[in-house]
Amino acid sequence: MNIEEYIASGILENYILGNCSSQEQQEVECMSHIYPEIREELTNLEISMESFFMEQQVAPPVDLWDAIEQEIDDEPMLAQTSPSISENGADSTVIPQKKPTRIAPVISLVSTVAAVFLGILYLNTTKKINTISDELSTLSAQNTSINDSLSRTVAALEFKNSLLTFVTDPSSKSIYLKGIPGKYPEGNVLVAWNPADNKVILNKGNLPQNPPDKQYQLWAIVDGTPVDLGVFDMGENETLLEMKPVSGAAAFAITLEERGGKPTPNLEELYVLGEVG
Amino acid sequence: MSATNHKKLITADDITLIRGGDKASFKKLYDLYSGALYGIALRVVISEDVARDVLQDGFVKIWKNFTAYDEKKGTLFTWMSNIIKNTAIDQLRKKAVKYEIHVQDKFVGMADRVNQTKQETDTIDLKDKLRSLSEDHRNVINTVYLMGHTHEDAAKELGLPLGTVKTRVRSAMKELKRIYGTE
Repeated sequence: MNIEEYIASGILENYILGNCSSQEQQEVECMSHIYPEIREELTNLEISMESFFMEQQVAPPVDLWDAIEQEIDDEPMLAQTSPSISENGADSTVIPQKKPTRIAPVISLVSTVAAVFLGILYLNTTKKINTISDELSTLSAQNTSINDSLSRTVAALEFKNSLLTFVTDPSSKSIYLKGIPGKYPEGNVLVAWNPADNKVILNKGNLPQNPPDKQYQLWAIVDGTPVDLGVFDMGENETLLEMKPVSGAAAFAITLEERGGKPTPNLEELYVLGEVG
Repeated sequence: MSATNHKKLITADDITLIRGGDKASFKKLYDLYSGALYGIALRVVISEDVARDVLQDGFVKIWKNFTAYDEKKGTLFTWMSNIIKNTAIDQLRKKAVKYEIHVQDKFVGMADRVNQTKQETDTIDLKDKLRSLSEDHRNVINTVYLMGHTHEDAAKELGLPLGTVKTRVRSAMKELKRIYGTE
């Protein structure tokens, strides 16, 4: 809220004159606690009203003080905790004389109860907020992980789609690499190769698990020379791998090499071999 | 007693003393404010006898309830004038006193009396100030504030259209601030 606009609205004047609803009264009192500018403006108005009435003063009967003094001699001052008079600066209601209002202790009790209630509410809310905050970070982590797995799935799906396109492409060739007798006779690995775009897809097939310090390496035989098409491990989820492209391949072979691969194959470790038909 | 320096006369120490039951300080308070508060009572109840009772009852209430005064909520005068005003309105209702005369007429008569009293004071500059707050404005402030009237009631009381009363209240308060305010 704009304080200057609030002051200019005339609500403070109506408050001072006692001419506003109890809701507006509360609002002004609340605002004056929060904004010193409003308190200052109210004080200024109160001083103006005071000066106004000081000027319109009428001398009271001379013997009145004696009467008052006599009466207050018998009237003890009330304890601070039980004020019976409305001290509201703009209270337009009449103070009942027969029944002094004992509203302050009630307000005080209500305030205390409200404060305790709000305190409990605050603690509960804080606890809830913490719980929700924890849940939120868990969910957020889950979400990240789901997103990751989703993008992996999408990538895998795209890869499989490209595979499908690849293998159904009439120019693609399927080459079965058979196990070398004496080394790994049951070996059965498929290489799909498209001589048109040189793309190579490998189905790892049933090769035995490689030791950690070693990796399988795929070779293409081009003009009688082995060409490196990349290394791979068994035991990973993916059975289909896109390897390095190659052109003019006459055959494909897989050897077990030291991790990272070698520039030339160790033929003693040749596992499978297949010629392009 | 001069109205110009009355603010200096009642100090925070005096307020503390009164809270502690010091009658001499309370007498000081009475000397300072009884005229203004009697003026308020008189404007509400008209009758001097009733106004006297109102002032007596009111000051006893002020004394009894002095510990309830909270300077954070407003000035001492505002607090006291509300007590006097409310006591006066209550007296009016209790005694079921019905005044057929228009409030406007009441205040015109009152203004004469006030001016007579003013001549006894030495506040010449303030008399000039009083003149500069027009009678219309004085009436509207007195009617709304002293009688605890809403704008609607004040309009009926003063025999004026509601819009006029609202405008007049607004400009009266503006003028009041201009003349008496600290700005």
